[in-house]
Amino acid sequence: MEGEIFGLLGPNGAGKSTTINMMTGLLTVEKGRIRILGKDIQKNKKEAKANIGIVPQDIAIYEDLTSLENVKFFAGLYGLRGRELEDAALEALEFTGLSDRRKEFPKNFSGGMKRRLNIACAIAHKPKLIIMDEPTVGIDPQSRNHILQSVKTLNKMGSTIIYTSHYMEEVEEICSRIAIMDHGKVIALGTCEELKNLINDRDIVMVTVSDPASMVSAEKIREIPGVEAVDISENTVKITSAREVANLDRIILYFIKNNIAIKGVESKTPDLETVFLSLTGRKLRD
Amino acid sequence: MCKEIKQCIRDYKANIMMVLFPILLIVILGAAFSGMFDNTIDLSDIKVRYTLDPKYTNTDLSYSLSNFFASLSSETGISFERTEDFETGMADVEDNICAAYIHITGEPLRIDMYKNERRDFTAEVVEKALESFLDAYVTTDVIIRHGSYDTLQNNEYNAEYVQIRALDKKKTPGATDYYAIAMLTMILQYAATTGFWNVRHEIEGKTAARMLCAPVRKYQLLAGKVLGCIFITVIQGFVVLLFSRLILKADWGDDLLTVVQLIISYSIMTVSFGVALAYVFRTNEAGSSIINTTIPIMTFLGGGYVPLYVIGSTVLKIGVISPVKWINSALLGLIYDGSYTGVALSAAINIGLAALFITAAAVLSGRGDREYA
Repeated sequence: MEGEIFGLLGPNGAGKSTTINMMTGLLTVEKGRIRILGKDIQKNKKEAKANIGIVPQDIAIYEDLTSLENVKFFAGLYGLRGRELEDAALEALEFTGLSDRRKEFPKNFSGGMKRRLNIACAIAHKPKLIIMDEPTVGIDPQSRNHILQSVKTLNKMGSTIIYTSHYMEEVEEICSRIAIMDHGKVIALGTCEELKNLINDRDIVMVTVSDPASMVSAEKIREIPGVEAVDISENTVKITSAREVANLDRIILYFIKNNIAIKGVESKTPDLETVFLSLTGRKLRD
Repeated sequence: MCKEIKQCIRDYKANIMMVLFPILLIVILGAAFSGMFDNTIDLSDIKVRYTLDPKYTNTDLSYSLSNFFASLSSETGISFERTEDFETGMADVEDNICAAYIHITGEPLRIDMYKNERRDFTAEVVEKALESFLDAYVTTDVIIRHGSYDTLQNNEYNAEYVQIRALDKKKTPGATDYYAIAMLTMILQYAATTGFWNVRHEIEGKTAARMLCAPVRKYQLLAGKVLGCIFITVIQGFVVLLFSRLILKADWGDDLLTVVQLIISYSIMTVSFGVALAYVFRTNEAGSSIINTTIPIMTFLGGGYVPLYVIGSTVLKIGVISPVKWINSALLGLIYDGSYTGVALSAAINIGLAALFITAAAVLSGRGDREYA
């Protein structure tokens, strides 16, 4: 919907990038139609593309051009010229906090600064739709926060945003609607709350153990009636279980029988990660 | 296009290779092979002895010989000295004092020439000139004997049977001149790497994909890239040309405009070759291997390392497959013979090949969306 921040979630190979590439005209649409703000991407490719700003997952900038030259070059592809181009580029750099670095070459930049320049190159021409493909991968928390704030601001300024990320908390924080994709199809669509409600018949039990959790057998726990998913990480075992089955005693018994010392047991409400795991059977980073 | 030019200008390593490298090679090869291109032979200080039988004193023959020797001497610097006897003349030859000894004696006239084998070439020059003199002398003598002497006299016969006239020496390239052309055309072939890497870096750096998300067409991006690379290549070539002409004093002829036009057509062809390879071979290794193998072979077949006539006729024949041969021949023909035939042919080959390469690049860049995605 126009004016929203739309999250696109899915494990590797789910089809997120393919969808984005079709939306930007990089890949040919074999079936169906894609309309960008009312313009058919196949029939009115040029007009449709003019309204899109793409922030690719890979940092796609020129190391041998200055920040300002990078932004001006990409904005120039959208028809901006002269004073208008200069002002738009400077504005984009100001927005991403790079205006004092406009004359510097990106080869001297940190990963976070390169990511911000990557964004500046996408927004200078003031697109109505901004597609951000994992824009916060591999950067420091400070740059990450800066980018998330920028996304919210861009949205407030009127841009519609499609946002993909591996970080669930980011998606939960900024997206008004989320689509979960798997095997090239949307398997769930809605607000964060609506998605969580999809699994409101489930309980989450977090068991913290003193020994490394690698000693725990996920398969054995899954054999316990009612257990649907088990996620093991470091010293924590996350167990998703059907609410109507009372099986907490059996779960705890498994740890006792196998001489795995329990440090704590906690019951949690489902989060987006749990929703994803329940719907796809996979973790987002699988 | 402006972006390409900026990027190419900032690529210092490539600029050094494209400008400094050929200049260094021109200097080194020009000095190393200067002897191979030196066609002049200094005949001054060469002495030739002769004896003339006293009975020919104050005859047509003695006048004619004097004129002939004087003429040859003034044009070549060879000095002719009369000696009194046969033994002295022969001794001078044996002692390497003179290049040849001419013994003129007897009735009928007999001329013997004794050559100094150590100065074989000089002696041969004298021998050939003497043969020409004798041919003319004998012909005239026969005419006189058959009663046509009056006719000859009436035509202001002056007993000059052979006149040595200086001929304008054909303009030929020296080593620096030759290698200025050969190294420039060799280095311009490396513009193929400029074209190739410009495309490959865009694709691998994902900037090509980003550009294609904008409302521009693939052919526009291709055109900008090709034009930018051509521009910078021509500038690099022009720097080498000017440096070799102004500092190294290489001869680029009088029609510099045609030379530059030919170099531009050649640069268009080499850049297009690289750009086409970037789309034909979608891995860096394959494309760069082709370029790095092709260029030395084409340069060799084009006479870029040594002139092909030095190597042999077979290589000379195979050389026709090399565009380097065509442009080198065209430039040599233009500069040293004033001929434009090779220029037109070479320019046609360059533009024809460029059109072929650009078409291939345009067709191949339009295919395989996955390459960019």
